[in-house]
Amino acid sequence: MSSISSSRPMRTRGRVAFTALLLGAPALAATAALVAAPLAQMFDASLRHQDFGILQPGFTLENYRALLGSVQYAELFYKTIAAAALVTMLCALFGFPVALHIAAAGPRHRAFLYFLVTAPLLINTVVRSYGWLLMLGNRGLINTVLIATSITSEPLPLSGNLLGMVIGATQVFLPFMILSLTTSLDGLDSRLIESAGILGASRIRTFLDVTLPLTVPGLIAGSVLVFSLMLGAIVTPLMLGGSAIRYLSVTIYTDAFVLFDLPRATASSAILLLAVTCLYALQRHFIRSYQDKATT
Amino acid sequence: MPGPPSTSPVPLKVRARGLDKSFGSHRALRAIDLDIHNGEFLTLLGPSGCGKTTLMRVIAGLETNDGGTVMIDGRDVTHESPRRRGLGMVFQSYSLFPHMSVAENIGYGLKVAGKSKTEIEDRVREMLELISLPHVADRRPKALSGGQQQRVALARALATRPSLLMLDEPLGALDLKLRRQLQAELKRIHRATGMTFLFVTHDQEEALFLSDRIAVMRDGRIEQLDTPENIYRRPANDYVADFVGDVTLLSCGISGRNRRLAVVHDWPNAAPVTIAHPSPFDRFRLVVRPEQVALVPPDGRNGLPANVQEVINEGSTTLVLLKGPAGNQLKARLIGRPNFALHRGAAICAEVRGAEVCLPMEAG
Amino acid sequence: MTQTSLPVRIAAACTYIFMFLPLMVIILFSFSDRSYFTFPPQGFSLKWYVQAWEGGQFFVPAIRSVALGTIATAIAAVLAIGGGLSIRRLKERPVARAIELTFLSPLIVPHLILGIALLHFFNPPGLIDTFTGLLLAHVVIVFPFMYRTVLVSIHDLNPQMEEASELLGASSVQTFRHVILPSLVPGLAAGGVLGFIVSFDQFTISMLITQREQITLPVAIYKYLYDVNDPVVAAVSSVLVAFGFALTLAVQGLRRANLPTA
Repeated sequence: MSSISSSRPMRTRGRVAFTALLLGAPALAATAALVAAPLAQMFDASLRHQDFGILQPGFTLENYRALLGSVQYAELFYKTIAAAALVTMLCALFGFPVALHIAAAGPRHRAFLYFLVTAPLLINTVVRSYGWLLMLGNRGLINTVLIATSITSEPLPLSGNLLGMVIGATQVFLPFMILSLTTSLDGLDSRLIESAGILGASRIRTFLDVTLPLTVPGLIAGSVLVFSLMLGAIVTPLMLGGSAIRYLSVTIYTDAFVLFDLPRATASSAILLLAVTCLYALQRHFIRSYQDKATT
Repeated sequence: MPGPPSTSPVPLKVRARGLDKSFGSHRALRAIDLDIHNGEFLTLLGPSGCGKTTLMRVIAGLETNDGGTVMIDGRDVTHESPRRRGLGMVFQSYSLFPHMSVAENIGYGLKVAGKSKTEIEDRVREMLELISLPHVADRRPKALSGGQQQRVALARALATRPSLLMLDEPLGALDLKLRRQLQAELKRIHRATGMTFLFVTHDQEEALFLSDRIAVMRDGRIEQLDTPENIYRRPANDYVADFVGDVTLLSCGISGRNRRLAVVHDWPNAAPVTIAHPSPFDRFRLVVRPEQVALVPPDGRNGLPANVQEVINEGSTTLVLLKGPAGNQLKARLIGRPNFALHRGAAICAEVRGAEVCLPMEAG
Repeated sequence: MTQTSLPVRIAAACTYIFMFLPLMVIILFSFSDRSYFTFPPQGFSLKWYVQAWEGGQFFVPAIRSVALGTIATAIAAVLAIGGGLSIRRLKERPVARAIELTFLSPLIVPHLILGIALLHFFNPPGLIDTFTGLLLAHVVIVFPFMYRTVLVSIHDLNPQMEEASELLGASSVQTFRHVILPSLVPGLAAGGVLGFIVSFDQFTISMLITQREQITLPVAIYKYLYDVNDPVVAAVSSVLVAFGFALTLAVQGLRRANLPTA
């Protein structure tokens, strides 16, 4: 709050801006000091050579050149994007029926369904991934059942690989997709669906011609969100995939904490951060242009 | 004591000089001068966007003026913060604090001024009596009707005994019946407190009913500042004439030795109209109020021959829309119903009685 | 909307099972009397809960996590009120968008990256494995959530309310204390619960900037899982699942309570 002197010029543009900056300064300082500065330092490390664990003076683009020029990394990027895309698609596939179900429910029932969808969000990812370890492990629920019913004799490798990561991550990120889809389905006019029904469209036709196109914004918003969250995820990949899988965030983790190759870890981090930021900007742009279209 | 009290100058509550205010490229106030006398009820009247609310907010200190000065009780407050100007304000949207009870709302100004608990309680009780709502002290504002909320807002503004009370379209959100009721109440409270009231409205009837003086505004300027009587009967220009009450302007030329006979142009077979004062112009427009028009059966001798176009029943009065032979329009307001046939298309004669204002012809 | 068709309902039911089965398995396992996973479960015992309580590996981290969540949320709330009021005053100016993006940046940066960056940033001043370092990181993680919820309340503020207060003689501080702050209570309450959850569930950054002394509950669970891996983890996790459900209900209750006034 500004101090008061009796003869100050009041409510001028300058004063409003000054007070505003004063109010926002602590928050701005905190985010700048604890996000911008550490990231800048990290970016700096990505431009250095490292000898025996010590960063050397002088800038170089060698770390980026090595990453982007290597066949191994090309494969890593490809696998990472494919896995994240797979998780996103599975979330959409599982999320759509749930979103339709919630949108069709009465208000009381709907509150309960919202509870079902949001409750897992409030449970720690470590705990949720642990649940999947109990499900997918060699002596986990699924393999126990499969062996007991003699469908297989040997336990299937369901965890410790990309498969385990994709299954676990789908469950972890599913609520985001459902909430995003529900939001756009809520705005859907049920009279449109009814009139489509009256016009003789089958349920599947109604879904393809009416429901699906109108939920595209929610689908895209949810997909971008899940995709970018998955790109940055580390807990589930590490716990269900293991430190040996070819996944970018896991490789960054190993580079930084197992191999102590800071320049490579920071350079891959910078590439990952750039990708996630672009996705975020894309999503904002898309939502904004959709809102503009909706208001005009 | 040197002179008799009648010759001492009336002390001014507000003296504003040369107020300018722009919002971007829009000039909200253009060099406004305004004097508000102690104890008067002054209304700023005009359509939305005319600058009336901006003028009030500049006087209150809620907007900074680009140029000019504001003095309150002889003190220059141009650069003073609103909280130090000693003013009260009532907003159209009530702006009561929703998380406080009615009593806490009314006592707020005294509380922040550090007054004692008993003093606040006494004053709150007194205010609730004044607004005739003694039983709502412990309720939340949301539990009250719109009219009650606005009375509480009034009590809150009056509780600190401001030297000037500003009311920004305070009755705008209320229905007609409640408006009438609260208008009477406002008038009573103004008389009871002896405070200076500055009122903003776009409703000319409200302004005419409440005010000691009215400032009619347009495009950031004051077009006329006068008593309701003069604003209505002697508008300074077309704009004021048209904005305050129904009016028809008849183009006329002067005739007669004492310049008190107006010959209506473009109105075939019209008899000259007698006007109250000699006209200063040779060609002019005569301001005719509907109640200055009387209808008589057509005899071809007196008045303006016309046909009835529409008869509108207004309850205690009847508004008749007339059309002259050349297509000119005229309105007549009758008390009760006339004793002869009035129906659409009927031929009739309109007599203009008591018209007194002549406006110059428009330039070009 | 019309009734959903049977296939849609079956698919939805399968998804709900998919979402909850792993959590149910944890709870089931926590009551087992074997130290390894069996299905169908054999025996019933509460010994893992007793062991979790008496073992002490989780108690201190749990207290720390609660304290951390509470303090970080309180600090973030103060920052968020200032930041929100600042954005409101700046309105449509271009600076406002830049500032807002800065405020939201902790949401965009993946926690792994922020964690690595903070690890190296905190190293020279000796903030690694300290409560202060942990608190700083959590404040910045919680802040955007708090900011977004408080901003909703701030946008609902009626500027005439402040003008009325000022004209009645209140100073800026008095207006803030008596008029603005009470209006922000719903947003602060919702943001408080959300912020606490975000801090309480935060794993990656806490893991990277602590070692042994200052680990939080999720980190303790993770470490125990890799060191011992017996149903004690399931017992602690079950408590967290129950806690998560309780918090969800609290949030829903809050939202419903806020609806009529909004």
